[in-house]
Formats: sequence, structure tokens, C-alpha cells
Amino acid sequence: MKTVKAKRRFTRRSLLKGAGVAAAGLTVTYVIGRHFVPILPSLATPDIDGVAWISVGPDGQISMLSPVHEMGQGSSLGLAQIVAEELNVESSEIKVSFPSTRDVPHMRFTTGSQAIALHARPVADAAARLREELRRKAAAVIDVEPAALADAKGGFFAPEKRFLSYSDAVAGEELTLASESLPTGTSYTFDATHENRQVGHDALQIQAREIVMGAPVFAGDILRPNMVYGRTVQAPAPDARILAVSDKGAGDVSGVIQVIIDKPRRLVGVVAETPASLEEALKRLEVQWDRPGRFSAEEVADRVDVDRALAKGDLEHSLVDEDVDLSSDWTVDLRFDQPILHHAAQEPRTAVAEFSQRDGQEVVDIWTGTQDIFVNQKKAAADLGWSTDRVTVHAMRVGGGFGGRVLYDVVREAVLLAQEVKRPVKVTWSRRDEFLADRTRPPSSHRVQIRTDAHGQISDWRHACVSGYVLLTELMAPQPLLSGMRMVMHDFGAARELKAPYSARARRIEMSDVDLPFHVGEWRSLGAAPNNFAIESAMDELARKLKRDPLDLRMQNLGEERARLRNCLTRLKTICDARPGAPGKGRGRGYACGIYQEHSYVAAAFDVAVDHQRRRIRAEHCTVVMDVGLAVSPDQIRAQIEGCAMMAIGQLWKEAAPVGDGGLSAHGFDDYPIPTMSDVPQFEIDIVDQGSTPPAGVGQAPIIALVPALANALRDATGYRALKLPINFDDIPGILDS
Amino acid sequence: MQLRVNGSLHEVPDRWKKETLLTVLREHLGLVGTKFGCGDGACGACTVHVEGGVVRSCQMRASGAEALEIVTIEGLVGTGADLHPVQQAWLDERVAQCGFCQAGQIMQAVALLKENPAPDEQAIVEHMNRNLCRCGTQARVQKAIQRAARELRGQS
Ligand code: FES
Ligand code: FES
Repeated sequence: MKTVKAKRRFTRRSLLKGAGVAAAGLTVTYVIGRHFVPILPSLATPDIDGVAWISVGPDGQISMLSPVHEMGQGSSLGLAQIVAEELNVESSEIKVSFPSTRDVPHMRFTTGSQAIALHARPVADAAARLREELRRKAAAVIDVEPAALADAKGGFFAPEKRFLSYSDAVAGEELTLASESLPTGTSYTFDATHENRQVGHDALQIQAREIVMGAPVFAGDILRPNMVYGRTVQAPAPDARILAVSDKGAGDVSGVIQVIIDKPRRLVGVVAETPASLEEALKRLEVQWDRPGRFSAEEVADRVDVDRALAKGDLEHSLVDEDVDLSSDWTVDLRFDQPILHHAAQEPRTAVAEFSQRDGQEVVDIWTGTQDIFVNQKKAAADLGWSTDRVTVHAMRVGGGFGGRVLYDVVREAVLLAQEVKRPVKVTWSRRDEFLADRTRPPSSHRVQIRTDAHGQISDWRHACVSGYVLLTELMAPQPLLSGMRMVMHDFGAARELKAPYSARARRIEMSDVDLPFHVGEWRSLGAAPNNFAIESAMDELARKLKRDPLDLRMQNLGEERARLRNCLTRLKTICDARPGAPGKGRGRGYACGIYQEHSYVAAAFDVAVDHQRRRIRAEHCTVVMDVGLAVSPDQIRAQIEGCAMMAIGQLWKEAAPVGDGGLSAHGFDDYPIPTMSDVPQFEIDIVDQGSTPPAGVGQAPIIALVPALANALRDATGYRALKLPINFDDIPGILDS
Repeated sequence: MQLRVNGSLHEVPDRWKKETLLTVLREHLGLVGTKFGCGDGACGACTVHVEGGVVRSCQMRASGAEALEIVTIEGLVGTGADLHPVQQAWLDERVAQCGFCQAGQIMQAVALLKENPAPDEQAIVEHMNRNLCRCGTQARVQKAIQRAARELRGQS
């Protein structure tokens, strides 16, 4: 059980300001436990891991600060639903705001998927205690025992049906409670006997109205008095150094305020009165780069070539080394290669920075959409040589995260440029910058070898993988510490779900993580999607080889402890059996499943049809069974599944980051096509209701099963096994003829 | 230079003349609902209506829009109720994920329904296919358009 205690460092005033409560009310704070490993060492030792505030104003208005940033995954809605459940109001009645670094103590902000898992329970407990305190106060108003008051919408019923609202309960009183003094309360959210009215029901996303009305919610929507526009020239690669810069008349462009050239800091940029002047000046600027590590697409492929690595001996890191029989008579023995992927989020990275005086010292305010405001605060402070309390980062909605928004780059530009020109500066990256400086998903190469006995029981399992780094990057630690870490540990991001959920007599799981000459980093589910793609494609091939039902074969090889995944597979089978795929040549169905981080369970099927006329393959139907424990916001779960399915379609048919002469070469969406409306399948989504199990994240898990399910459907329809992504339609037998 | 946006005339100073319509709308007039997603005409986040037709405002000079009737997401109006039926349908189908592309999607959809009050699936796909959404909301965009079409037909 997590402890609930009062927050020390923060004054009541700042709490209320943060919560957007004008006058007084009742505020409760909570602290969540330290039970998770921080991903970023910069945050390894925060004194508090997480905080949220829920308050009831004098008018009865319930407000909360969201301990998670919103980027479309719906976690803040889930938490609002929990608070609404505990306080007997509609989730739409709760005012949710997103804190800045000044509103909350230093904490690690979670990426979407972990958010609900980490915060659901503490939020529910805190809100339950707040409800009981409200009950106590309401009881005091009419001088009865708290137990005499029954729950009612937005308040309590006293005997004789007298209604007391929360506003009556707080009675306009200015009141702060150390939460130790709050009565204990049993949360409804996790009480199986309580009939939930908010949790488990569909609700409108936080900021949904603002979005359809075009109201400002993103960083780029910030307008400051006297604001100007800036941007720097992106380096063509992480190791590039500036050799020479020539202005070429950039400074003469009308509207240009300053051309900034700071070679040691690798900063070449322009600030101008208007965006068009900025563009024109940037076009004129000429930067010559020293590129020690020029590379070609072939060189990248060689570096992650699993067979080439295995030919030299064991891979660098052994994750599981049991007594595997390595003789060559594998039942299946397949190699898979997956490309560099871009995030291609719709919002280009944007930040606004403004310097001003506060309490006699210079401070800076920064508005940006990021997955972690404190990483940005810390780095900005370091760049300025300031203490962090002089830097405030305001969390704006993120226009698509997918793991790509922990970064600092754009904030750095805005801060340094604003400092130069002494005016607020907005920096919005061009689409080209977005692709060039993207922390891509690195390419990976896999060899999966499986041997079974005569009954289809897996005896030996080997998975060897070579991948670029995912978490052991400069975001994790500075050099030379990073190199040291890379020597002593494997990249646990790239290795995510490298261990298959299946049992085997003996397993050998090994990997090498390699340095690549472009930016890499976190991408939706990290290594789990590529690893599980290899695993589930191989399992499908195994079923074909053994002439076994692919779902049965999986269930047979799942250990007892995999009951939740088995349940998903059973339900998937029932759904799919009830809706047989359309028969005929060029049609097929494929299955896959997976466990994400031991908290989310997913089984998926795709039906595909070859469209000979248009020389393409259509994903017609997508069936997903998902178990994430308590389904707080079922509709948000469905939305995440739909989004992952579209990304799976992108991975099979379309996406690979182009590499040109010496670097990532995509300039725009034309160079990196992503799925569109013509790709949309029919969805059938079954959410397993596990009311008593704590909720888990849903943003990343579905994709790990959806990509291989689609590949397996393609195999079923055409006989073609997708060994290399994305597929080349010309390789598929029969797609050109008939 | 003057621009007529959402029914009212706005003075645009000379130094904004060479700007795209998109940046004038967003940065000068503060109509930030219209988004910059690529600047190449490839994503549709910047979609507005000019003289009733869809225009990718990142591809149009502000000066080229002088004297024309411009409508942005902020200028959509419903009948009586505060939201346009397409906006309402977007809420009812809970379309948005991150939301960044949605103003463009809505403007594109409103234009479709003006031209074709009863679009079938193919017509919707053809009309909407170049409005990108990385979050993968396309299935819901489709449903919302159908819902709004029903709603609008019921009204007329
Ligand atoms: S911003 Fe205009 S089409 Fe992308
Ligand atoms: S909702 Fe995020 S890009 Fe469309």
C-alpha cells in the first residue's frame, strides 16, 4: 500500500494556483511509491516520485492536476474518471489541468502507457479519502454522524432526503489538510461490489471540445506579446561538427533580427519578425559540416546483420543461456529484418521561450509539448548555468508522442535564441527537421530457431537479435558514462519482450546492441514490436510446418502462468470461429499474440485480401482481444488499438526511413508514407473485463501483436512470408498475374 | 492588405504580406486552430475554406487570399447550438487522439458534406485520404462524417 502524506516543499498558494482554484478549498496530496525503475538517470533520485492534487473549491468545483501529460493516449481522462467515481460526479464535471514545473515537485513523468498503471491506485485512494473528509464535514454542518450520510451525486443525502452538496460541506472555508489527518476511505474504483458509474464507461477525452473548436492547447498555439520566430540549422547527423558558416546575406533579409552563429555550441540560427523572413534567411545561410561517419544504407544493414554477427561467435549479451541443442535440424529457422522507423507525429516539435524578471532575478518560461517537463527543465537550466527553479516548463498537449517526445532539442533552440534577442521566441521545426533529427526506431535483425517434439511441444528455442540502441543513448547518460554503461549492460529497451512467452525445454536468447550513425531512441513499445514480430512470425511458420492450428499450437506452448494470455487467445478463437473469413484465392487470416511488460495481454487477428487490380493488399478486418486489467476507459483502449492497427499496416506495407548519401534523407511525408483512410480495416475489439486487477497501459501493447498478425495473414493469403519489412509487393508470387 | 476571415475584416500589416495564409491566420490573427504540420501541402493540418472550397493554407500566400472569403475552424457555426454538426459528430464519435490533425480533418469533412450530403464510404475515402493522421483515427473520422451527414440531412 502506498503511503499518503502531505507534501512539504510546496506552499498551499502554489498548490491552489496550480490547480486553477481561485479561492480556498480542500486539497489533498498524495505520494506514490518508489516501486519502479526510473528510465532516465537524471531522475533516478527524485525525493518524490509522483504527485497529483485533487481539490474541492468553495463552490464545490472539483479540480485535479494531471500527473501525466496528454498526447492522445487518454491517461488523464482515465484518472479523471477514477476521481469522478470516488467523488460521485461525472468525469466531465472535473476540471483537469496540466501542471508546469512550478506547480508540482520534481517527479518522473511517465510515458502514456505506464501512466495509468502507476497513478490509478494512489489517485483512487486519495480521492476516496477526500470523499470521506467531505462526508465528515457535511455531517458536522447538520450535526449528525458521518455514517448517517449516504452518497449522492455531487454531495450527500442526509436523513429525510436532505441534500448537502460539496459546496455546503466545505462552507467556503479556507482549509488545508495534511492528508495524514484525512480519514481513511475505501476506494470504489477497485471494489468489486461497487457498481461503477464512471470507471469502465465511455467518456469524452480531456480537451476534446477545445480540439474540435480549434482552441489553443498545443505549444505552437502560444502567442506572447512581442514574440518573434526563430530556428536553427539541424546537424545532418549526431556526430557532425560545424566547419564553416557563411551568412550569404541571411542577415540582410528584411525582418531578420539576428543571425546567431555559435560554433562551439553547434548553434547556427536565425531570429526574425515573421516566419517567412525566418525561412528566407535560413535558406540563405550556408553551413559546412564535418561528417566523420558518413554512411550508406548498406553499411547500416551490415552493422545490424544478425548472421554476420553470429558468424563471428556469440552475440555480445546473453539474456538466457540454457542448454540448447544448436545442431542444425531446427523445425523452423528464420531470419527477420526490420527497418529504421520514424515517429512521423503530426505536430512538429515546437517550443516558446520567454525571459523575464521575477522576484528580482531573471527567469525563463518555456511552453512545449513533451513527455517529460522536468528533463527539459533540467537541461535548460544546465545550458543557462542556472538553478532549475529559475526555469519553468509549461506542459502543453503533445501532438503525437509515440515515444518521440522526451527530447530537449527544440527547447534548447528556443531558450538560447530567446536569450540572444531578449524577446520571446517561438521555434517550430520544419517537417525536414522532424525527420532529420528524429530519434528513430533503430533497425534490427533477428534469427529465430525453434525445435519441437513430435507433439508440437517446443524443446529448443533460440532468438538472436542485433539492434541499434533504444535506451542506452545520450538521453540516458552523458559520455563517457554512456560508453561504460553500454559495456556492462545490454540495451534493455531494445531487448524488451525478447523473451517469448512460450515455454521450452531450453532457451538461448542473445543480443548485440550496436551504435549507429544517426539518432535513435524510443518508439512505441521500444523493442517489443520488432522482437515479437520475429517471434510470432516464426510461431506461425511453425504451425504451418506442423500442420497445426496456429492458436492451438500457441496455447499448447504457453505455461500455466500465462493464463491471461491464454484467455485472450481462447476468446479470439471464439470470435474468429464465429465469423469465418471469406473464402477464396488471395484471402487469408493471420493470428498473433503477446504480453507487454507483464501487464498487458493481447491476441489479434487480421483478415487480408489481395487486390490484384490495384496491386495491393488490403487489411479488411482486424480482431483484437485485450486484457489490461481494470478497463478504466474502454473507448480509449479501443482507440489505441485502432491506432496501433493503422501503424501495423504502415509497418507491413509502407514504412522505412530512407537513408541517402550520408544520412536520414526523408524531407517530407512524401518520402515517408504513412497509412491513410484507404487502409482502414473493420474493427472488432473485445476488452476483457478484469475489474479487480489494477489497470495497465494500453498505448503500446497492441502493436506488438498486430504487426505479426498482419504478416501472418499475408502468408495465409499468398504463401509469402514477410521476412523483411516493409514488404515489396513485387516479391509476392502471383500478385501481378491472375 | 485586408483579409476577410470568419466574416470580419482584418488589417494585415505590410510585413506580413509575403507570409503564407497559414502563418497570418495563426501568428498574426491568433486563429491557432489551423495547424502547421508540414508546410508542403502534404498533410492537410492547415486546411481552411476559401470561397467555400478547401485550401491548404500553407500553400497559399496571404496576399493571394485578399478579398476572398476565408473560413477557419474557429468560424464554423452550427444552427443555434454552439457547435457545427460536424464538430458535434466528432465529439459523439470521440474521434480525436492527440488532436493535432483534427481541425484540418473537420474542415475537409465540412467541405465534403456541402458538396455531397450523402457520401458513401468510397466518396469519403477519396475526399479524406490526403488528410494525414498519425494517431490512426481514420476509422472514427469516417464514422463521424456519416453521423454528421445523417444529422445535416435530418435538419434540412
Ligand atoms: S501544413 Fe499544409 S498541408 Fe501540411
Ligand atoms: S489525432 Fe493525432 S494526428 Fe490525428
